[in-house]
Amino acid sequence: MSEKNTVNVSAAAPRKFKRKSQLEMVWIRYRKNKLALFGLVVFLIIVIVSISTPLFIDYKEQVIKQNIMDKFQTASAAHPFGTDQFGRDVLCRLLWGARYSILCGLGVMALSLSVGAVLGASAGYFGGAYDQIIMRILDVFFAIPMTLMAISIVAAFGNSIPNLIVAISLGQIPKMTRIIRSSVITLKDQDFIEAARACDTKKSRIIFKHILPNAMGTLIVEGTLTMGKSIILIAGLSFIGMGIQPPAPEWGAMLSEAKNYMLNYPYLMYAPGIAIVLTALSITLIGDGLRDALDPKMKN
Amino acid sequence: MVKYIVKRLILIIPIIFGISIILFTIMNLTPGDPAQMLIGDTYTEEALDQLRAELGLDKPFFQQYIDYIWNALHGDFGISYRTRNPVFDEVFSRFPHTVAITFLSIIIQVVVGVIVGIVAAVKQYSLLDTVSQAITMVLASVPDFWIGLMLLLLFSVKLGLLPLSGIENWTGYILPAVAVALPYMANLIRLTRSTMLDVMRMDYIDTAKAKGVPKKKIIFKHALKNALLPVVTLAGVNISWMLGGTIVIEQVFNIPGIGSLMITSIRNKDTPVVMATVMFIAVLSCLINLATDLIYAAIDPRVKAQIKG
Repeated sequence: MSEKNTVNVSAAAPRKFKRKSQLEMVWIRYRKNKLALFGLVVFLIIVIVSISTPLFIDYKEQVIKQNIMDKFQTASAAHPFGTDQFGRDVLCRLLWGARYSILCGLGVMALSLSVGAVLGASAGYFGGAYDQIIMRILDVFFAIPMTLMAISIVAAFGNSIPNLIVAISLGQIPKMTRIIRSSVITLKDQDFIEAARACDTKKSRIIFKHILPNAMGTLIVEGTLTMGKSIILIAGLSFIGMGIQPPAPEWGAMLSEAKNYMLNYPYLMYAPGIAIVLTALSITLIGDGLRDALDPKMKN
Repeated sequence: MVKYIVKRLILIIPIIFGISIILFTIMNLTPGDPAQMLIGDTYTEEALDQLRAELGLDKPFFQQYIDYIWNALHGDFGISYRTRNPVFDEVFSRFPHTVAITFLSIIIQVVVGVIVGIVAAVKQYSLLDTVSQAITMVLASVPDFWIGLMLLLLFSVKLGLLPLSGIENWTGYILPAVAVALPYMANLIRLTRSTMLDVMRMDYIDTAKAKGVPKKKIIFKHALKNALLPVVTLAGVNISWMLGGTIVIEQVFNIPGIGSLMITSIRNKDTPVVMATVMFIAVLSCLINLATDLIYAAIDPRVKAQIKG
């Protein structure tokens, strides 16, 4: 790719090269990383599946309806992944389960990123007593183990999907805020911020227009990694019965049901686990790829 | 040094207060009346009221919190609403299991993680490096409870080597410890490898090479000591996470540790037990963080100078 670029610059159309946006440059660097590309493809497939399942799977008929006559069938043409203890098709449940993981994962990422960005950027920019108060409060949340925090919130407010998203985000916000705060602190003394201040730009505009876009790389990478972790956490919560409840086919809840039949029908435990691993792995690969692609040191 | 330690210990106090307020509020919002859960199906209104008064549940929320803190400061953490045993007995009868898993697991992850990390860095781009890179990438994305289930299937159900559930002797700790260790180990391998690679590029390693120092000595004496610094920090963080993070794994292996105590207590609105357990874990992780920083200072003279100053 780099050879092609130099050719562009020296000969034919130097302007065309200049016009490449930041986003294009990131994409050019990203796609060089084959693993990251693989992660992106897998993730997109999972997202497409999770959006489109209602089009070809009927939740009431195919996902939660019990057909005791068909229970514990091994793989066949009609049921490629077999059926579970209530005769429900494992493949249908698995595909439907992607919805919960993707929805919760995206929700946690969006919530913890936006709260973390506002808290971290303002604490880092204003400093002083405000910074101290915010950071000390977050220290307290940081000291409570994440899973415990999530379980107690779910116990107090009920285990709906929005509550789960809030419960898990609360555990991620302190870390996110710290990361954003430290990158804002390094940014705020730079000349272009000084210039903006000299022009009497509003503080909120400086933070949202000038500082946060520059910290975007860190934000995106942390956001993706958080999403991967929270998908695993949600599966764990559902597994111990404090998350999404059966008969909903959340992958952790499926594993929790399958555990009861482990001795005789271990095959029920393979597919949901592999689905969690694939999803989390694809997101981790994307995060790693983005980290490299967004790193200015990696620029050609 | 002493001044630094005292300062760090004092900083724990507001954190514990904060945790107590947050948890007390959350537990208060949890639906259900502990007195009603405790008394069973057949009861008279008077008996219920009496029990409420006995547990201090008839007072307003704020008064309850003040009472709790006042008693806690005097070393009285109350009695469990569920079993009516002192909270301390409840917590300490469960704690050894969790500690056993945590420490077995940290030994596994540090020993394996550091060795594999060093080998991968020294033999960069070798087959072993590539394989270990691939495995760590996958391991970091595998939920520990699923690893636990798969290990159970292999070693307990198929091979019959290890117990299926519960803790009869120490062999019961092996599988849970390995299951918890693997995802953390993946991070340790990655970190050891990357810091080792960074250190190996330093000028003083080149100097040592130029002086003709044998390769083994360079790796173990010059490089490893510097590469271990971030590893110590990560291992410390991992310990404090595992103390509160073995909840799910304890459910897989039916281990009566802190995790299962927390779940039953939260479900039964057993506020005193929940409060004591979380505060205990929080104090412990603050102390472990402090210990990590002190170890760090002991290894790195540059940090030591900062702490002393």
